[in-house]
Amino acid sequence: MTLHSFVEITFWISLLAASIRIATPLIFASLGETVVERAGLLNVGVEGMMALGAVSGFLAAFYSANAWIAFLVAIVVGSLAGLIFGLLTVVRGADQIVTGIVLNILALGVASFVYQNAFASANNVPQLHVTTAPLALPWLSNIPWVGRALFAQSPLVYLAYLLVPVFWFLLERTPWGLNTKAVGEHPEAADSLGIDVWRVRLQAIILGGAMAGLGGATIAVAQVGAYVDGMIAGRGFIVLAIVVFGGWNPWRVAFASLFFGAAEALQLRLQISGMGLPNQLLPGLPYLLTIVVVVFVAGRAGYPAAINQPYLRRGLTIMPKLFQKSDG
Amino acid sequence: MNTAALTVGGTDRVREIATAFGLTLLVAALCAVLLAVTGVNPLRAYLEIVRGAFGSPNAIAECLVYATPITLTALSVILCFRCGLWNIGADGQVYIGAIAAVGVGFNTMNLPGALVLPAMLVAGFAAGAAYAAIPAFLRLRFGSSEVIVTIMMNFLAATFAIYLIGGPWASGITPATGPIVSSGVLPIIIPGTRLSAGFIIALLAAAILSRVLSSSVFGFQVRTIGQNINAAKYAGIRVNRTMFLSFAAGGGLAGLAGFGEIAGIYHNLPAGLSPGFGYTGIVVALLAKLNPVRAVVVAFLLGALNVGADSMQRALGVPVSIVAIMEGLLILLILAARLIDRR
Repeated sequence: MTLHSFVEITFWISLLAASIRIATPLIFASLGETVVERAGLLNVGVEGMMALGAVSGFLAAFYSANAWIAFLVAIVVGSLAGLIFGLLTVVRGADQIVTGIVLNILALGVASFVYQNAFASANNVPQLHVTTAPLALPWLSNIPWVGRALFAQSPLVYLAYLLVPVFWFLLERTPWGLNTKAVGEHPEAADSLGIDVWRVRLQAIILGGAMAGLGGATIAVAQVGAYVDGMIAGRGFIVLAIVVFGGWNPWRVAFASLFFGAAEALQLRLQISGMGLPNQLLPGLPYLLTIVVVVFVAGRAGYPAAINQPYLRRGLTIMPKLFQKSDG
Repeated sequence: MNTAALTVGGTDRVREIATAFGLTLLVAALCAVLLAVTGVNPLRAYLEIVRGAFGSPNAIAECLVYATPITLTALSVILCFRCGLWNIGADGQVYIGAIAAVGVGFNTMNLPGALVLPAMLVAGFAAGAAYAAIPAFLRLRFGSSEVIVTIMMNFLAATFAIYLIGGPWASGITPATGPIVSSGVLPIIIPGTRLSAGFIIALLAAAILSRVLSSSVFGFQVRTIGQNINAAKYAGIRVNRTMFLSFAAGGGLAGLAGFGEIAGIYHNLPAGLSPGFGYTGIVVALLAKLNPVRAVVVAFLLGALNVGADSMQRALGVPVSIVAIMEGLLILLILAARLIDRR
């Protein structure tokens, strides 16, 4: 690739295709996290949940030779991780940031432990032969210029296309979405209207965990075809920035994901091109971009009002004696 | 966040210790089941950990070698947490401190021999502090989440280290930079082991931080902010200034950990310098309930756990990631039992 290739249309089309591919796991995880944050929870543990999804999805695909079973397993594992986060933060009222950070440590440990036990000789990384083959949609993929970039992709990409409006509809047009947002903005008011705050928040975090698990499995099963420790590489935290960047709106969150996908795709192409910049520095680009986004786009004002605040239900605020914290 | 509840205190010390002990046993039991499921005799595994960590004077010295950086990163985390800021970036600050220490340690400026080591120490601290000052500034000026920014900066620092090792500072032989000059090497305090004077530095830092937090004006301000930021404002404390200084000083402490690894252990900048010292520092800080003196004890115990687990991996093939599982489980159970609580 030379400077010349930037003016060629094929370059931009292949960049668009790669951006969408790379954005897909980010879209899954950030849609989930959007619901989680709208419900007033801040899940810093997305990274760990994605890692669990990656390893469980990989193992399921390896042993079942069926990619769809793999995604299902990853969704279940992610939901369980979400449930643990929910029980600690919602029911026990534990600090969400501490819980998320520690859950990451635990989840990354579990992922690594499980993988190394399954493949004791970790010297040669086992590769999957069951990946999701690209599927060119009839007619749509024949649209000039962008047709193949948008519609000759893995079925997971189409699932992402589908889930964006579904999440928007759920949040903006259903009683469930209204309850979720109410709980995230003003849990006391929601409670007084008879909304079960804990139940709604638990549903949100389980959904968030499931989506993070699906995102992780997408990377391991559909894109890399292998599991490697640290393969999520901070995407779980980039997702947190994406949700803020996207203003907690599924459509805009999807475009924010695409923006980060494009940055990664461009970074990978620049590495191949050898155009001046040192190759070892280029992988830092998405991280730098995340900081820029967090600083300039993300005002704190936009967060749901009750984010990162536990809601202790009346009548349940009195905990069993054993667990009561003496004042320090 | 009200960090008062994270700190040491309370009247029911006995019950607290009993609960903590019980939870530790519970984690050991849970991990024993996990080990048994994977076909390893848990008793053998635990004995191997103990033997690996305490079986010889050299093993104990290795525990202290491991405890050195995680004490410093824990102190870094403690100072920031105490005034209500999350420093998840100690790992990156370790890298930047190490990079600065190595850069000075090549001694291209031809400093006199006696000045090299102090210059490296100052450079390590200053670089860590400057690196932490960035997220602190962004948080206090723009309200940018320091959690996200510091984690991104961890990745950036590691990327930068890889670039230096592979590019400008490449030794051409090993995946590491060339060596520092011999006058930049910290003395070994127990002959025949790898335990360097870096350990003394970590102990001194813990003592100083403990003193500063408990009985200095600055420490009082930090604690007041952590307990109630509005009260601190009403009391006329310059909240932003204090928070910024603590975060930067915290970064400096993590930078010292990087300096210690360079001058005490590696004598160059290796690829993969930190196996997650910053994250282990968070674990130490939480288990020590944000008390600097307790952090030294917890760091030694976790150092022993890590050293022992290495030996267990060699003997029985159990992945060392079992340590992360133990640490994570223990803290999650502590959270569930409300020993750490936000109220």
